[in-house]
Amino acid sequence: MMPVALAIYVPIFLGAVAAFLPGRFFKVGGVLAAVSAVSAIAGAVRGFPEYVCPSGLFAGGLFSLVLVFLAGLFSLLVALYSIEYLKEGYPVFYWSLFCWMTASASGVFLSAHMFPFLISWGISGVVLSLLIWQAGCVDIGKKTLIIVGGSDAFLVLGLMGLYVIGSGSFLFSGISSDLGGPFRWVIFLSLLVAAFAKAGAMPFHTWIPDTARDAPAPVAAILPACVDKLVGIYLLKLIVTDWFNVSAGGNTVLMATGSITIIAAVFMALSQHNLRRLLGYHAVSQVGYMVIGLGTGNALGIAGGLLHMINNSIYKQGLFLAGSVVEKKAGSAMLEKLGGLFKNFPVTFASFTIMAVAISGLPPLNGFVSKWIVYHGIVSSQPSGLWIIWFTAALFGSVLTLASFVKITHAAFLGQPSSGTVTAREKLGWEIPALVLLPLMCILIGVFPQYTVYPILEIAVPGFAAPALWQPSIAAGLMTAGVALVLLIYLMTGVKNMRKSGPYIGGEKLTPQMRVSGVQFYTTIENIGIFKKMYGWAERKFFDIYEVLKGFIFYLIKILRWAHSGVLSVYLIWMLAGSVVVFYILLLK
Amino acid sequence: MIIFEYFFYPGILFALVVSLAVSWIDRKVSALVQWRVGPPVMQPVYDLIKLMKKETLIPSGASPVVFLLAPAFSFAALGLVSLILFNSNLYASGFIGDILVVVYLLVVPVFSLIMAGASSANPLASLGASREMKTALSYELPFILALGVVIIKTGGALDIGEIISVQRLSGPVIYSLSGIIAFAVVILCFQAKMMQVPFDISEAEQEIMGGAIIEYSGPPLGFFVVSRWMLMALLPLLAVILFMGGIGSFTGVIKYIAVLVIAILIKNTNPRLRINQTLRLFWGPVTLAAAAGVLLALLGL
Repeated sequence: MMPVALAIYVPIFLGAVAAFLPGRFFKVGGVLAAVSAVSAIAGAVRGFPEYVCPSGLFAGGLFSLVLVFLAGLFSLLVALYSIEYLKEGYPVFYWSLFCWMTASASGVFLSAHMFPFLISWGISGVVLSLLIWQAGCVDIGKKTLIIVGGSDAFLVLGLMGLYVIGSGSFLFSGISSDLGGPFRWVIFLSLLVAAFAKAGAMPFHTWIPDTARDAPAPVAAILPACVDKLVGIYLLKLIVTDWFNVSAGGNTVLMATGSITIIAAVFMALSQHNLRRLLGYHAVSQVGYMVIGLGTGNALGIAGGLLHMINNSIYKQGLFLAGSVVEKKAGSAMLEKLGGLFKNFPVTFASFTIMAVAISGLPPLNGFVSKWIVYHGIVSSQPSGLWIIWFTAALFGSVLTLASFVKITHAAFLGQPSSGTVTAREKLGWEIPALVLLPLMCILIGVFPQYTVYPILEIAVPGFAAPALWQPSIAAGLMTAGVALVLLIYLMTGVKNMRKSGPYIGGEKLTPQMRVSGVQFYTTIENIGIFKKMYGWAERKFFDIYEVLKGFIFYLIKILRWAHSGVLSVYLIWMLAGSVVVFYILLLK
Repeated sequence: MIIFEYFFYPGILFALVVSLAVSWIDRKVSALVQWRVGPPVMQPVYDLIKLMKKETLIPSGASPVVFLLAPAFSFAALGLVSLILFNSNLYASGFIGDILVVVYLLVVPVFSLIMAGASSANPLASLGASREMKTALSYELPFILALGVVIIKTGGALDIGEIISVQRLSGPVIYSLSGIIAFAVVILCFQAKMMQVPFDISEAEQEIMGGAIIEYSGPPLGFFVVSRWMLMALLPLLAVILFMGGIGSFTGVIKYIAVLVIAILIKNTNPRLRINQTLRLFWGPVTLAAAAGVLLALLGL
């Protein structure tokens, strides 16, 4: 069968079948979703290494096929996780939406024509809103629909513009334009709005933290954290590598957006108390690295940005899934209520810690590889003097990321146990594939990029050659040897006879009131004058473009309401005033 | 071959010997400042042997795996840093990783210490971990900017070998105004990175009794102590590489010891800062100074 049929039509069909399942066949729906994910994977494998559909509507290079493969793989893992997580009683329509999500993602990656691209893009946005809606989060679903759906309008505008300035064809293949003149800038910026809203770059990010907190965990893990990033950044890649020869000015816009996204979102993450909302802000912050990378305009940066997109979709999804295991089994996502869970949640703890280290970019895991390539791209980006700003934002953002994951790890898994969660147990079922496979992928890509991701990037980004000066396999081997040496010395010095003793706190007796949870770790920073003000503004939603626009529109409506009072005499006055104006204009003529 | 280099020369064993010597210099200079005689040369070795013989205690309620692995990762990462720095310095060419790799590897000991504190299930250790993270947050920002000065001055070099060879050809970075500012900033940041007074907030023995390592004893503590000595040996080397073109000859060794002694003198003549003071200092004046350094470097000064 053809790749397109496997990756798009089969999931659409299976989704339609799932829509007719009665409520008690919830698990059957899960099987259908898993099958549709496997079908997408099969489609990607079938099309390898390159695929062109005879109709001309679809085509896929190696990179697109890899994205279809990954989206299929992630859908499979999350589908299995959902079977365990959501259980019977949840609407079966969830599975239809899930299948269509897989299909729409494949559709975006494989489109070679504007129409299937737009349709797939639109469906993926609607599916996202419906998945959020379904869980009863009506307001957040609405917000998501307005931001993500509203940005679709910009996509249509941008694609129409491309049609006009291009060769007058709806096919993607012929489009290539310089970025000069206001008209082309409008097109460029409209397309950027669409990509940013989908991927969650600032200032169109505000639907992500809310969704991350309130939507069902599998939805938060697969869409805002993973597939939407792939889709949004894939569009950004098309914009900056295929459709436009981006000028230095365009690159500066991108890199500035990326830098602000990294820093602002990670500072917001530092102050969060809700585990999933904290992760949600990181889902925003990480986009910054991809945007900066793609904005550097050189092969290194672009390859780094794309690699970061793949890496992020692995660990961010995994972090959501692991975090949600904690939320479900320990009964709360509020960090102050958790603590000391490492003992009863060993698999989740190991999985979460590995991925937390990966997202913080410590070597030799995958987050480091992509960030490192992005840094190399930044240093050689144009215009030459500004790179230091993007460089500082990106590197410092990485330390701040580490800080906020230290906070989560301490508050949830380490430290002293909180009284409410002592009895919580892990008891994993179908969550295991995701919790094991995703950290494993982090390690594999991190230690062996030369066998896993570099070959793909070399084909996807012409001119990319990985810089020689990071040999992760050797470094990881040596570090493992070093750790082994220390463990050997432990054994030789008699660590077996180690003794357990109570905690020492200067001779005082340890009481539950002394517990340090970890949520207060960064209050020192929050209390510094300027940050206090910024956090205050953020709390009042000054930076939320949705709330700001909503406020503006409601204000307009209020004025109109005042004029539209329903009192006859007021209307008569309006008519009189209006006719005076009309007469006056006529007189002037 | 590379395994030999990692374990013996110029990796772990060599770094260990250097750091024992550095630790002795530290104690000796501190003693001289305080009008004492100071310990014999072999004192650090005796201390280490004694620690290795002691019993390992693990606090009840702690995670033994994290508790024991944390010092191991700290030590292994520093061994790798030592290998990269010494090899790059010896051959004036890149090895395994560039300066960004070193910057990130130097975060591993910080992370290990934090995980150590977090896994100890002790409120004082938790406070120490939180303070350590905040100290790291505060000094990383100016450090990155100061690193930017070096990269600008050496014409966009990220490869440590290139950073060294450019400086040997066209003069050290420190011979410029921006270089001096960046060097001063880096010395302050490294003081904090080495957890030395006035930035030893995370262990503050008089307040939180060692902070993150309060529960450690025996060999695991030994590896943390060695890690700290190694940091004390490697960071001045990194400063000499970044600003003076590395250790090329005997004068290079003198420069290295001079940088080390500056750090020891700062330690001995300043009172400890509070955590909010540290944050304000590093994110305020020090970052401004580093940013000024960057501007000057961009102007070619």
